[in-house]
Amino acid sequence: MGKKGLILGMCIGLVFTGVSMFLLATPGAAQQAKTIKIGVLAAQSGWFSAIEVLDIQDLMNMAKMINAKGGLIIKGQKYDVEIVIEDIKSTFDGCTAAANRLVFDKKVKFVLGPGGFFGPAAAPVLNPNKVMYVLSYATTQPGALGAEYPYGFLANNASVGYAIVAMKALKKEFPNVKKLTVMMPDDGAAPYLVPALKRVHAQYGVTMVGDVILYPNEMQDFSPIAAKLDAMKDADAIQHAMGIPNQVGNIVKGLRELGNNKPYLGPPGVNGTDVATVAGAANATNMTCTATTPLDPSNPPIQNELLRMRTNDPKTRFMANLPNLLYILTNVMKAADSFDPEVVKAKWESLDTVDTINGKGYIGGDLTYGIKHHAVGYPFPYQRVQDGKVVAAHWVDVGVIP
Amino acid sequence: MGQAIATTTNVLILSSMYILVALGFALLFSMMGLLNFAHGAIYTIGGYIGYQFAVRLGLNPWTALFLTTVIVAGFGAFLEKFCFRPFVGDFNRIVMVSVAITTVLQTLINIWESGEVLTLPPFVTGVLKSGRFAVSYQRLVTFAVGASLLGVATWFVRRTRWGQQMQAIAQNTEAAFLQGINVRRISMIAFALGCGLAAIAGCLMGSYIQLSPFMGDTMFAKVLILVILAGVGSIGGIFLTGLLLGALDAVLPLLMRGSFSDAIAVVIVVVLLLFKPKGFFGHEA
Repeated sequence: MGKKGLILGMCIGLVFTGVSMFLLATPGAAQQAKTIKIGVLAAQSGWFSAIEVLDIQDLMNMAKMINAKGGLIIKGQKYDVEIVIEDIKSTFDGCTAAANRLVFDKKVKFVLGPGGFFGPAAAPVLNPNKVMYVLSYATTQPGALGAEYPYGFLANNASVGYAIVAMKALKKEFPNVKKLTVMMPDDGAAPYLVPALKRVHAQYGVTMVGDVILYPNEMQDFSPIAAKLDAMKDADAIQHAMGIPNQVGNIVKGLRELGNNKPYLGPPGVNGTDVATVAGAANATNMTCTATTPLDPSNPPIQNELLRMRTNDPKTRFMANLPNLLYILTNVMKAADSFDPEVVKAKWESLDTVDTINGKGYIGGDLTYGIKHHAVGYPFPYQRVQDGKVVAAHWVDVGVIP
Repeated sequence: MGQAIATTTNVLILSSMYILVALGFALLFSMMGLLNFAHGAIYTIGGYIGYQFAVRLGLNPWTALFLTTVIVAGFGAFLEKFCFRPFVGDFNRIVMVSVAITTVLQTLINIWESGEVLTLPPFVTGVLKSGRFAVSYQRLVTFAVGASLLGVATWFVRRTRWGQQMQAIAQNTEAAFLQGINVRRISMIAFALGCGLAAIAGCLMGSYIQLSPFMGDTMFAKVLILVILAGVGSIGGIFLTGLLLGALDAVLPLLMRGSFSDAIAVVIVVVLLLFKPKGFFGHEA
């Protein structure tokens, strides 16, 4: 084929592709089901993606599951859920940019996420534009949830709800513990979270010893933190209020190597088997983890169904934050029989309970977050971990978050 | 007393960890003047490849370490030839290429391994206890490997022909070329060695800490500080600066809250650079 022939062929190919794409994009070119677009702010790149990548996969499966079961029937019309994900790139700037794209380019009216401390980066975009958003985590730090953020909701037990789970685990597994050392990452949440934790401690008859121990999220070797914890001789046990698997694993390893065998209450979402992977089986002992045990028979059926739908799967980590957010939001939409954010928002605020994938959720959080009926507390399991093995998984009811 | 012993141990272990990771980068930066921002990502893939051999294929961790080092060294030679050599002397493009390599490698690992928690099996198990002193053999191995490799790297650069040729290239590439030194070959060898050392560090740290697609980012920041503080042109100097950085990172968290310790450590380093602008052992700025 000569040069001219090649160029002509490429031109024909380009024209053909362009015409095909135009026809496909034209309304009416194909029969399209009605859909409700739900935006998602989650990390697909950057450090936080290590936490959210699996959760996004589970969310897509949750949407498939909802659609396969008939979608959402609103005012007699069937709608399929369409998930529109924007990558927050694990940065504040990335989160704000992603929120802008969802609101102004994708024109969504409902958003799931962001999680953790990224909320304040999205809230200033979502609230003025009256986009209802459901956070996948909150640390009690202001900026995304509260009276100034009327469109912000929380569909996760989050730090305070999980602290209730940890205290119930403590009472059952280590009933003699009265004094706790508390630690968490130094990400700005401590001044707000510690008072809330102390309120929960008081309800369960325990007190916090000394100041909260803070460490930088970027820390690589946690031996200095282990040495600091070991020096807290007054404490009967250690509570890791927030953290991720490598932090827990390395701190536990450091403590056990120092001969410190005090009970250790792991942070939410960190599985006992993951701790054992990092710390070594012999070190991951005498502890509880506020985490779901994948495929455990005691799990609600939806959870195990979601796990079986995973394609590439590690079955070790299962948080189901984003799937739960979608499940809860769509349940409120159905109850409101509307996709108008104002109506859905009002319905959420009027409800006392809502179905979650973990069972019945209770709507509250008035004292903790400073806004009435914007947070959900729902049942959650804890694991008893001994010698690197999850020896028991127990579900506890969180009830209404104060 | 117990805390003092634990802290002293932590200083030594943290130092050896930093020295171990910094060696490969220092070899390229200090000796060849090549600023490879992808060093953190190479360190990361070293850990992940080691994991494939040690866990997925079930090989002995030491065999896995050896195979990983060879593979990543080969990858380093490939990178030098096809990604860095075309841009030699162009700082901006070298930085862009490094950043691109980092992003591609991190993203691939993230997609490939998702968010699974992975750790290489320990190279040795058990804890050495004596009175109030307690340290795991794994940490001792990290220390021993870091110290040994530092010695070998220093010997290599000072005593071997290839090492001396690297120094000659670092001082004046054109003069080295006119003296008959095969600059391309020596650059490729330096890259292969640097990446091989990064792979060793990635495997040991992947066993000691945990694997994460972004584990190289934080470590690279430490390494950059360490090598600059040691001074361009100095391999041996990273021993002292490694000890200093290890001491700051092991002691400061005991005295102050979380993130402050990191910030204060960097401020101390900047102040030191004000008094020693060429670093402690730098031949040139």
